Amino acid sequence: MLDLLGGFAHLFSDFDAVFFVFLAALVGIVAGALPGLTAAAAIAMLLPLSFHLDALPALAFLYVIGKSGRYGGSIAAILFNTPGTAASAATMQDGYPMTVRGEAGKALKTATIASIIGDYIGEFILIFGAVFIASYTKTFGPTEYFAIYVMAFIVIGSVVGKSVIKGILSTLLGGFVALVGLDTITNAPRMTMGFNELEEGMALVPLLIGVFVISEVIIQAEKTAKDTLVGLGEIDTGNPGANHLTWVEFKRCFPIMIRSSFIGAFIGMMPGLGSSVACFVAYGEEKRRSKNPEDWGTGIVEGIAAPESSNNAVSGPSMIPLLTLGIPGSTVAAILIGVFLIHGIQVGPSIFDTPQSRELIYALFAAGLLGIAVYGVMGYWGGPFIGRMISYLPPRVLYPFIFLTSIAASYSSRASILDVGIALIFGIVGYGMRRTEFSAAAFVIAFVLANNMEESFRQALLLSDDGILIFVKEPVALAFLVIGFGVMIYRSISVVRQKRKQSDGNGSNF
Amino acid sequence: MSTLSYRTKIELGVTAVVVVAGLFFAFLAWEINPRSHEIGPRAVPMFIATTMILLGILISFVALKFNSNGNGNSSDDVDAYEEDDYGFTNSNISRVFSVIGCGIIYIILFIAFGYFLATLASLFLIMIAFGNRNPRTLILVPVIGTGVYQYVFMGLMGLHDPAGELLDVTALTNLISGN
Repeated sequence: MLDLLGGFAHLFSDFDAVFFVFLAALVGIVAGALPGLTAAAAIAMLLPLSFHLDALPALAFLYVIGKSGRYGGSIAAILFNTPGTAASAATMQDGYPMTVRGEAGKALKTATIASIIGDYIGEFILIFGAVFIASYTKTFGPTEYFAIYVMAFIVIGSVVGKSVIKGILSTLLGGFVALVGLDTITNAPRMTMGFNELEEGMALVPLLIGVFVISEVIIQAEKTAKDTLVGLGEIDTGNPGANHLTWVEFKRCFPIMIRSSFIGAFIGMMPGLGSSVACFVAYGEEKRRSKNPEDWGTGIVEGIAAPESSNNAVSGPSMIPLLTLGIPGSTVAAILIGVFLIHGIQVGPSIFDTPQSRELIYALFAAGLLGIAVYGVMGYWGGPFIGRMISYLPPRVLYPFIFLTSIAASYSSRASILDVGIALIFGIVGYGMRRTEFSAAAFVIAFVLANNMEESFRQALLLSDDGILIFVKEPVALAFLVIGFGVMIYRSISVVRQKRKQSDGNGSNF
Repeated sequence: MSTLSYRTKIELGVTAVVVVAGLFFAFLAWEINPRSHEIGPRAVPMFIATTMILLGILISFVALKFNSNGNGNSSDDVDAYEEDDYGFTNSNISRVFSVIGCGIIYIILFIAFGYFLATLASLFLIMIAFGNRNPRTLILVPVIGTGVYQYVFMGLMGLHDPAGELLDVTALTNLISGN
């Protein structure tokens, strides 16, 4: 607790950090509320800006965008019947019918309160859970780490998409791309195809921009038949009676928010399982528990409270694998690894050992707590206004600017025009992945982890007297490998069973 | 091939792309100097490339198995997949190429004329690609937008603003960026 108070003191002594928390809350809400643009895409475009900041403002900025972006997705889901992010897909089911009935304000307020409660529960689980788990994991050596990386690759690849094979292929592709450049042990150039600039390896920024932003711009270019992002007619928040969340309604939703938050927090701790899974699990569970399940989907506040508290509760715990094992549990966490490294901080359990990095991490936790309050206030009173503004934005002007910003951001990461070309190539790759059910998230997470995985693999073998058997003889390493392959087998069996149950028998999502 | 469902056809195409990519990656990995180490710099890339090829082939096997296990409706069932954005039936290839084309033009113009003119021309072209036809919008938005980009990225963020190989306008653009 004292560490957390110290974190707040550190945060509030840094004006830039506080300013960027406020800015991030606004940017995240707007980015999340823009249909098609995810928090990860916004972070990718703004990542180069963080290179010019100190560690705390940079991390706080991107971390809070991740949180407020998840919340912002609910605005698009409720007002426009289009999920701003995949995490808000379940919110549409009850949110939009309320908007149609003229209760958009009530729906938005419910989403805001649920998001705040979920996010705070998730954040406190992160704060108190990360240090506790890190005390166990900091004794791990390269053997255990290799097993953990393999487990993460397999688990993320298996659970992140509809197809196990394509999920694992996405991680392999990300892993291969990450290995381009000089070998960290022998300094031998690898897969550089004669480009000297590639000896430094592929930069994270153009890759992220290509996969998340340019692919989205291409998809939006295909949809430009519409003049506005959404219809304007149904956003009615003018009737105070229908747009006020009553105390009785809040009391009815509160237990749902708490239960769903814990569901979201638990799912968030699993690498690869993100908000989009959490929101549907919580929605389904609360509908099952409900006395009137037939009301769900017709526009009830409970149908917003469950998915919104759950998807925001993912945010904090998804950082636990990052801080305790160095493994990002989500795309946002994967991007944060890059920011940590830029500022010379090695992510993993030892991050709590040195006073400087410990202080930084607690200040980041404090920034997260402050960010939740800020986006809550902005969203509670400003959500309808932000939604209305977005509804006036013509995509034929908005997306050209997003495209040019992404090009400029790609160039700015290393002042290299080659990076713009790389962003375009990965834009096409990302577009193809989205059209064929590959996972961009698994690709990015593997990209971030692959070099460390290879390094720990080779270090472990150098230390081993038994060659590759060291991974079987070390019980902790073996346990992680068993978990990884166990999850893959379980998931594969589930997918096959699901396919067999489908009466039409047309799919092949294995 | 006419008995294959739309999804199966796409999955066969995915296999082809993955296998070709895997072979290319294997070729790149093979060119790495293995050094004297038992597990040298070539091992992991080669393992990944090989696994990609095998999993790519597996996609086809699974697709064909589920195609033949279907309910007999194995002709082109495009409509069934339009709703979930799978495949390319909703694609507008000319739009895809126009966006990528704008990016390629940006790179060429950047080398030839520098950041400012490349941004100006690309913003104009991408606005057209997104269906803008109003002349006032097509002139004002790129001019104002490029000025803002020049000021933010080259001025505030201090990025390197290289001179174009064919035309150097940095003396003028420095007035905007304040360098």
